[in-house]
Amino acid sequence: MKLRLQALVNEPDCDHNQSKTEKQKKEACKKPTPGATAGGCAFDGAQIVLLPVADAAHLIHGPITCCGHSYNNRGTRSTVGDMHTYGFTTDISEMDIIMGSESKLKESIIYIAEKYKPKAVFVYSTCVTSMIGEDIERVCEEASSEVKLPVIPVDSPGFSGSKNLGNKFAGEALIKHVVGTAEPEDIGKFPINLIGEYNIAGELWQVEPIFKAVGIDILSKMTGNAAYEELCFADKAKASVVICSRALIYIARQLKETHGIPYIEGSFYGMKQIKETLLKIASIFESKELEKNIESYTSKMEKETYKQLKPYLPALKNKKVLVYTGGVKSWSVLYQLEELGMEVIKSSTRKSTEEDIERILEHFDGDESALMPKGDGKTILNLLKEHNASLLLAGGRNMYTAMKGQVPFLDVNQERLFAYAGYEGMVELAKHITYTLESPVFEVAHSKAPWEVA
Amino acid sequence: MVKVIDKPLSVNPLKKSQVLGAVTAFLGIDSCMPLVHGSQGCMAFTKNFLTQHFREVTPMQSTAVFDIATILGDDSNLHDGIKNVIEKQSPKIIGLVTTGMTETRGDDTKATILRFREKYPEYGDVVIVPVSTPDFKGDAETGYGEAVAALLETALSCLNVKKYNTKKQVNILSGMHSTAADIDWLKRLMADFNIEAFVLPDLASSMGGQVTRYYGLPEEGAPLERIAKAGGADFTIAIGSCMERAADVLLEKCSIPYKKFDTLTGVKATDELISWLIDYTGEPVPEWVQIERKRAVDAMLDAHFSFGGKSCSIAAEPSLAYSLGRFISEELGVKLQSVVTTAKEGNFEKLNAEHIICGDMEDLEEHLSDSDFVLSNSNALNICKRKGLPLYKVGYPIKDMLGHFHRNFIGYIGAMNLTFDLGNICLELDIEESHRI
Repeated sequence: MKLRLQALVNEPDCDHNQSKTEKQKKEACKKPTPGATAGGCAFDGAQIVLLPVADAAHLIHGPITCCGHSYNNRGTRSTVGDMHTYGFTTDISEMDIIMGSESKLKESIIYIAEKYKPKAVFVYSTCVTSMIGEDIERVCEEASSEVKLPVIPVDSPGFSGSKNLGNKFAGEALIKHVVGTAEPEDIGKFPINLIGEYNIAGELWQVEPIFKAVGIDILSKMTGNAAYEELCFADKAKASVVICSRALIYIARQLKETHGIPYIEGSFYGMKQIKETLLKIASIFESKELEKNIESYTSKMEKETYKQLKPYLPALKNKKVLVYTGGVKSWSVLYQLEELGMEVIKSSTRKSTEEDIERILEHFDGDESALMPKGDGKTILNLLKEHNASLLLAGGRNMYTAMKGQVPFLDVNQERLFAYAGYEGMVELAKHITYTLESPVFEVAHSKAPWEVA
Repeated sequence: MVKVIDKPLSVNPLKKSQVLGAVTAFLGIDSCMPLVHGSQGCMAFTKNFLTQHFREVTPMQSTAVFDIATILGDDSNLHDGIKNVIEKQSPKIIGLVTTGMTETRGDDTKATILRFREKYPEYGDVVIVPVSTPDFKGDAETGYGEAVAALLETALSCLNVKKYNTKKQVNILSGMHSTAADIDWLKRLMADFNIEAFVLPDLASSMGGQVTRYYGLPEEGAPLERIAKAGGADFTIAIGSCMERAADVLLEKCSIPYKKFDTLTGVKATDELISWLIDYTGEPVPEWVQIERKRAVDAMLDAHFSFGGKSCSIAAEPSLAYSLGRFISEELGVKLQSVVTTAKEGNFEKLNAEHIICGDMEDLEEHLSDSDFVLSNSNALNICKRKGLPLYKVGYPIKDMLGHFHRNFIGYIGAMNLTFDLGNICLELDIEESHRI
């Protein structure tokens, strides 16, 4: 386990990792602080990556909390199946812990295969089943030959680390067991893998038309609205585009090392980002044709988008925003807000990689005071007040922090109902920020009750 | 007979863990930090779940047991967790909730707490309530009941019990299925019967939206000083069978007699409570209670045309399933097709239903038969969509509906509301049926 962890934590493609001193390395791998943590575990992270594969079943081998408190709760949308809304768990009991539950696991896989006929089954190990030494890899192998379906073990005990590490576990499982097991029929002219887009609230459907319009073919989506099959031939793509998660660089790097597929990182939040990302892809393909398509399409779309944004921009102009979100969003959303004419006062760095932080700093011209370290709701509200900010942009767990502070809020979490990617998403974002900023409710909330008026 | 469907797994679980129940109970205590002893996810999933359910800030923390610590199993995570929570949040109480992971490791949390006390005498005034809630057994309701029992055991023994005024003192142990509206109704009722009632836990005050500022700890729930004084009360009322353990603690430790109400949903069940109150206090029945009863009965009369011949299925925690099932079948006259719940035994066995199943949402889906509507939590929505059946949302989680926590399910008013809500579902079905050509 320890060796495997080292291999996963060590990301050679990350410049920072190589130049880090011992002390810095230690800091990066800092353990969570007991009594002062936020965020999910490695199992959570693994599930986030794989659950969007909705024609595959996801079986959680553990006691009830892991599945019972988490299933049917992701904002990911799919047209290929509905297995992502199902919770399958071995729900192990005390007796299972004493006697072992490998046979139960195998029977569960067979039950799912026969009854729900998924294209594959992902099996997740969790803290308890990992501690009692269940060999899920062997069980998956046995069950797989019996049910004639791919059964993929995802070794993801929660105690091994954070969500980020769990993302890597999922990537590891895909590389080890899935990628390279099928042949695509037609790969198109400019075939890419889209890595780290989970189709939350349907964001993929805001991004897909852009690729289509410029002539890039998405061969394998990892994993928003993905069919299991397309993950199998990700090794046939000619480039990988990592758009949402540094943690999934692991997959991109593996694809590069083992199959020679180059990769780029990008974002589809913000018009400048969209264009840059597309041009980076074009440079991989070294295609002038693609470049030309991109130039003309993006300039057309930018014009069109600004036209649609026009009614909202005056209300957003120079409004101050505090961004409290994780990972890639901590920088990618800054560009969107900037394009809407808003001013970001600080951005959080929790769950962000050093690369993410560097990008935030780029935005703030190197001003480190713009980085907001981990903080609780009180810290967030104090900052909003101190800077006279108009909006908090954060995940759902902080929504009620904002409501308690009676501050306008925009939810960018996994469970949200609205999509903010691509050109369409820009307009959607402007609309929803305007709705909360202009809601009359805040005036009511700030008013005093008759008996409180002096 | 409670059926358990023979299968190796749970598909779309109905069951939530003891961890969720225990944390929920602690959220109803003023200045109490629920501290989940397990890996980060045990707490994070639970927090996400309860935040969506209550639409409130839900303070809780984790000991974040992490790799090496997991294997070694020393005190450090727990000690650091308690210390950090105390230093950062200054709680008066810490509700220490174990998980399957730390229970599998065999942690002796009581001994660990003793060692913490020795090591950090300066934190001696913070009450630490350990509760054993592995998620490989029990369900949310047992975890909730265990947490309240453990809280009383700890708080009663560590603080002086004093009788403090002349009114009759009654402890009300509110079950996990009580909504804020239910708790408020009980408080008003008790006050008007001249009883000084103490509700434990008091989720209405902490999670009902009355705290209008940010909080790092639950505020305005049942306060510690008052919990300690619960030992001086004259009587205890336990609502729902999962609260019996806690009532037993008060009986055994402080000789306080109790009465358990398995349900307060429906006219008959409310009559039982009011009769008891009349006997116990000798006070007249408040006028508003009399009016509410008339209205409830009138509502039931008006609605009964739509209930005849209808059937429904329920999937909920045992106490809630029993309360709803009894009212619906015995007072509204709707047939119970299937009752799916999360325990193998309990009073729900007495319900007159075609199937009583200890199981999951898949079992519900496969035993709906000719049900006209379903009562369950938000996770049943997919099933109801597939089957084209209306879903009346009850239980945990309710994540796709506003205001559930402010609906009454108990008392005459609860009977009236349920009658209207379910009656409207049935009325719509009748109108649809009658207009079909």
